Amino acid sequence: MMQDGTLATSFAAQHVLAKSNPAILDWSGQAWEDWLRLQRNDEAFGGRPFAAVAFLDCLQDLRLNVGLMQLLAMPGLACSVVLAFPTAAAAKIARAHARREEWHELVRMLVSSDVPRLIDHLPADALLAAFSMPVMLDRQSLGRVTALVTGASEPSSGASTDGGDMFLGRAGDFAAWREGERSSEAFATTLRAMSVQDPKRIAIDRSTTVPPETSEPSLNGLNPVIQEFEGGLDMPGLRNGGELIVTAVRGAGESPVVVRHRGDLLDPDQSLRVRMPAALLTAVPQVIRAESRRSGERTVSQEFCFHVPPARLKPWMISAFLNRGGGGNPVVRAFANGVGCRLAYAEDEPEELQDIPVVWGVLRQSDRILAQAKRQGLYFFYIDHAYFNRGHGKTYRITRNAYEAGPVRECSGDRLSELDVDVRPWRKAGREIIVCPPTDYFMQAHGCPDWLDETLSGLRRLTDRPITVRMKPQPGEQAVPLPEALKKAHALVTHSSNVAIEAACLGTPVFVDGASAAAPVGLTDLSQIESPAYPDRDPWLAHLAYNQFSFEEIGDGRAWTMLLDLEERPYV
Amino acid sequence: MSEPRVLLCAPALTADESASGLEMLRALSLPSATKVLVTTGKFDTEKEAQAFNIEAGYPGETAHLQTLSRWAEVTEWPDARFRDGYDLFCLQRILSQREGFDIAVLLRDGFDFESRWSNLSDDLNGRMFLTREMSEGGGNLLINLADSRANRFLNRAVHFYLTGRAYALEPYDFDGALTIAAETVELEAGFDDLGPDMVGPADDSALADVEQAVSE
Repeated sequence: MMQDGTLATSFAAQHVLAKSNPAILDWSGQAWEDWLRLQRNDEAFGGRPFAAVAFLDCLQDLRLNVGLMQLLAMPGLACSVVLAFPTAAAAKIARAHARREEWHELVRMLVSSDVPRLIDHLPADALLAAFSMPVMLDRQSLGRVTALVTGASEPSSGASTDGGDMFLGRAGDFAAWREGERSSEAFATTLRAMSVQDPKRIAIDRSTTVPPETSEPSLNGLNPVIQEFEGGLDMPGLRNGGELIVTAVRGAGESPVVVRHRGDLLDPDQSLRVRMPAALLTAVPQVIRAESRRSGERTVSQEFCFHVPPARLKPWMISAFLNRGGGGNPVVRAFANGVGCRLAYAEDEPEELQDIPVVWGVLRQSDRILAQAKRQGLYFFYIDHAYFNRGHGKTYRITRNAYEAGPVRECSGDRLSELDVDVRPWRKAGREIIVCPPTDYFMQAHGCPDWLDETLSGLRRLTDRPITVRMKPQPGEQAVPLPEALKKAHALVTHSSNVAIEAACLGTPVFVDGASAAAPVGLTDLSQIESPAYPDRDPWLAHLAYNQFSFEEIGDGRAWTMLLDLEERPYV
Repeated sequence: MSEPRVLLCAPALTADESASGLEMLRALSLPSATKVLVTTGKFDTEKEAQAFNIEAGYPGETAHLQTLSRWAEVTEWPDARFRDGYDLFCLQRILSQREGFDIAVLLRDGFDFESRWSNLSDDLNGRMFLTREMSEGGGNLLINLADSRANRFLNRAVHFYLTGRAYALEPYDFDGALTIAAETVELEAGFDDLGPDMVGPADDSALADVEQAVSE
């Protein structure tokens, strides 16, 4: 269908219309949004089934298809839309774009060469329109559609507009239809007409009275069997007729349709693999309802829990976020490369997230992204400095739905042994308590602005031991080395700073917040300050080593593979 | 006749590529040429070229081009479409900030470039751009900035990649993509007479019959 020769045509049309008649592009875009709104509506709506196929180079061309939008805006039609692209890569990009706008499963998107096979699945007398190029429906074409809708005429054999860029008729005639050679004169005529057309006068209002539907497709054999399947649905068995509808069940009036496909536009020989929107990529299962319908009547309905386990996350679900400033961008780029996921700036991201986010640190909008992910119940990944051998360009920790490594999982000691971590015996004869407060920003960001004051007053109530406050050294500042500072320490108290890990390795018991990476080998209750814990540190250290990765491992995807593998390891 | 003012732009995606690009520029001594080396961070050009940090200002376009490549699920990285789009974006960005050139060269292959320069610049005469297919210019692109359409051409070429259209071109090659950008400019020129002031109810009566039929 659309091939190299037309790439320039549609590309030029974009720019010409944007300059000469942006209102018609706005109308077209609005008509599309209106149609999508109808598709997302859980309420069934009637109308004569009609399939419309538009051949595009990229999704940007969608608004050029004024003729398609005229059809979608017509009353009395229940349109199913197929968007066809010249290559698999172009189709994948369009699908990814559409997924972020949550309409990718409300249409069929495929490679142009697959269209004839798809049309073959339709009943021969099914109504079909196909647009090989952007067109605007003229009076004659609009009249023909109206006659079909109202039943004033039956579909005749396939017919096309001038230039052969539109098919309108029965699906059975599609194979015989051949697009005409599109001359530059024909293109110029269409584009000139679109350039001067008042958009107020090209569509029939949907509110116009519509005659009731008089014919229905057969629904025999429509009996979907839906199973949870790698972030999607596996649907063998859906055959001709009716619609498959999947709804995210959220409560009255808040249950959007996320999947809507006409049954006879699905390949009966293949499972339907659905990519769910971000709203369903949550850490906790969600209820969805799958049903088949015919003419507004629910024929089969099934509710079940939908959940993508963290070990089954896929690159298409992920967005890695750069920041405008800061030092994390190289590792975020490397992560996106290694995973093969979307890359964008945190500052440019709309409030509602459409993917599982990956961020570096908490500054420059990363904190906003994380807060939003938590609000939406999404999975998220957090990248920061590593526990051992840290430094930009060297190693980084990556954690899921937490800032730190979390509960200890069973890991071998192979990665730990490569890090050459100095682990000293527990010191049990120290006298002093060392308190290491977080930075002011950290305390504000983590909702504990008075952490230091509260910790000191708590300790003074609980013990007579000498207390030393050790502030985080500023860059370039000379400070007493930690091993030296801990020589006489009974315990180190901090919120979730990495200093607790160093202290635990140096043999100093630690008291930390439950979110700290050192929590598994420390205590979180200051009332036990006189009775510190001295556990075996080997499993914990091995676990930490499996939560941090070299820059190379992140960039070549090994880190991502290990992260997913870690999710399936049992807890210690 | 005075020498044309030439911009020699060596694009780079990494610090290693910047180092290679610097060596390529160092080997060239075209008269009236300004050498610009693309970098992605701090980089010492040893006064051999002007440094242009493409990440200064944190443009979203480079990330978007990478995203398109990933969404297309192209297995090789960097894929040719990403790389060509990225290099064109670098050139466009430089030209948006530095003016006064007659010829812009996206220099990706310095081999034998200087000895062929005289022929290349002659071939460019009367054309908007020149690539390998047209004059064996290596992987390089020469744009004739004296051509009034050149800016629009470069914008369309970059846009061709940013919109993902490049992934609709199969088989893909740089020359084909640039040719489409040039054809787009030509097609658009045929509509330069059109403007928003010409929009009107051109087909005002077209729907009357249809609306009536539907309402009946």
